[in-house]
Amino acid sequence: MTHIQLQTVLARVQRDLWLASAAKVGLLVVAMACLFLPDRNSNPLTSINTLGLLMVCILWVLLTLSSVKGGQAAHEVDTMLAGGNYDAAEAGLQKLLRRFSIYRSTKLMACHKLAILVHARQQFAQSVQICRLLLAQRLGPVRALAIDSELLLTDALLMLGEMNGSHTHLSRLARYRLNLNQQLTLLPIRLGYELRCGAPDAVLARLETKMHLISLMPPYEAAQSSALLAMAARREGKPLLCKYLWTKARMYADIDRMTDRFPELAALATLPTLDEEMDNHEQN
Amino acid sequence: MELNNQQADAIAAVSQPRRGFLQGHKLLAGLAVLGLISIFFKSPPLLNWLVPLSIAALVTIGSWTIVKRQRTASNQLAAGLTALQLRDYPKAQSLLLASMSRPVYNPVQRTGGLLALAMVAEHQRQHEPALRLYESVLSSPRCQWSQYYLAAVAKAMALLRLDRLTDAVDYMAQLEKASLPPPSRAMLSMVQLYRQIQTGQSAAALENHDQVAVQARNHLGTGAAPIYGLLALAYDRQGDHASARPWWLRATMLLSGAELVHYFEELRPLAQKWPDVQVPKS
Repeated sequence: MTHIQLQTVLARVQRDLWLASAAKVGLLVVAMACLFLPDRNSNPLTSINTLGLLMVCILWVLLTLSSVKGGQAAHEVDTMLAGGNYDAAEAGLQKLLRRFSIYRSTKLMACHKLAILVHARQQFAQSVQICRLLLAQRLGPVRALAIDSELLLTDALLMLGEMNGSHTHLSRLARYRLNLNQQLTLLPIRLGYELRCGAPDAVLARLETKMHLISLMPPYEAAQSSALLAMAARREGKPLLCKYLWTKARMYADIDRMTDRFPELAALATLPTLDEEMDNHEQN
Repeated sequence: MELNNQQADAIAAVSQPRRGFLQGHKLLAGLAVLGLISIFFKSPPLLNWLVPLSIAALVTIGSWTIVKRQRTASNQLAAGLTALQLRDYPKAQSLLLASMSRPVYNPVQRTGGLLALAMVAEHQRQHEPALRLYESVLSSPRCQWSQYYLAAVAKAMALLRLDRLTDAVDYMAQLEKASLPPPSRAMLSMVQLYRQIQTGQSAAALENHDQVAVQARNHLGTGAAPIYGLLALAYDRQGDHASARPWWLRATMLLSGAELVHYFEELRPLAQKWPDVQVPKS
């Protein structure tokens, strides 16, 4: 997705969010008017009030059904994203974002998925734009998106080297009560931030808790977090701990998978791991 | 308290969405008909105004109550899944039982809850209730494909643990032909490895060990530890202690020896022979 395409999409999203709110208020006003305004017609079949109320109900149901369809399409996008099928996910999201929905949450969810997609493609500047748009909205029933958007935004800013921005959003995240999965997402971001800020002692603080969290992560994130801890141990002059943590990192993934986000980890590549040493020792 | 067969069956049955007379849409349709009757039959103007309003209020209160109850169950389920992730099995069990003791209308949540309870039962070494829960997941009509394959592979392992070797082998042969997602394929490799070790075919277990280990590392994360442990056991049983040692080290770098023994009792001799690697201070 190009910068111009993204701008068009974001402008459309903002317009649709406004339209959704206006439509909801409009329908509610009409319904109230039908209920409470006096009607001189004694026959309910031809009463304007009854017909008006019926029309509002029908319109609401139709718009809700259309939103539900949008919700189902969003689930399909989830599956595509999980399977790494990004092109199909993008096409699905573009369709979803073009569709009008009376519920702001449908549009906001689609917008969040778009942020996840561009983030996964490592288009961090675009991810920042979408997350900022989301965080500026009144999220209402989807307020849980605020934390996920903050997490994406913090990571994107870190990847763009904007340390001040990362710090601001890390501080904001500290105010939320994160669930376990959000804590697992936050850990490598925080470790990366602290390491890049030149605070390896902070990286190694509460090591046992961090290692427990790492054991719950998917392989790629676990490898990256362990390698960041290993790098901090090296900078702190703890060679044994560094080797131990590097061995742990290599238990989860190959080196190239760790260095794509943190190129500084390449410095650890020459370090032998404990099991390699043991293998060599046994062979000799 | 450990999960038993009756509890497993009861949870699978109770968590099914109800299909009774007072199902949501039928109730709404009934109320709508009542509303139309009140509009079209000549009734005092106050009643004409009052009946639709009362119906709207009833529907709103009813929907709100249902949504609130579902949300509580959903929160309990999420907390149960978190406890399971953190390996706090007693807490996971009580939360999961509480959330699954009423109909769960979201099919993905329901199968997720059943799977989680089955994992708790596995941890308690209650393989028969676990098997029953896996079978309820597999027979759920709107089960997600990833959950389906997870349950299928876990069922194969439960069959092995219950010493139903022929059933397990037949079932694994079926799974071999299916296009499993990579994590489930890696889990299936672990089941096959365990079967080979259990039946004394340690040499056969080591034939594709590199491929099995790479698959496990790429897709299972910490879950690869039992596979490394089984590889160490296979080497050890072959008398190749020198090759067994690095595999045991890899396993215990990810999980403690005690946890590995809880997975597979067969690993106890290795845990006694080689202590866990300690985290260095410097």
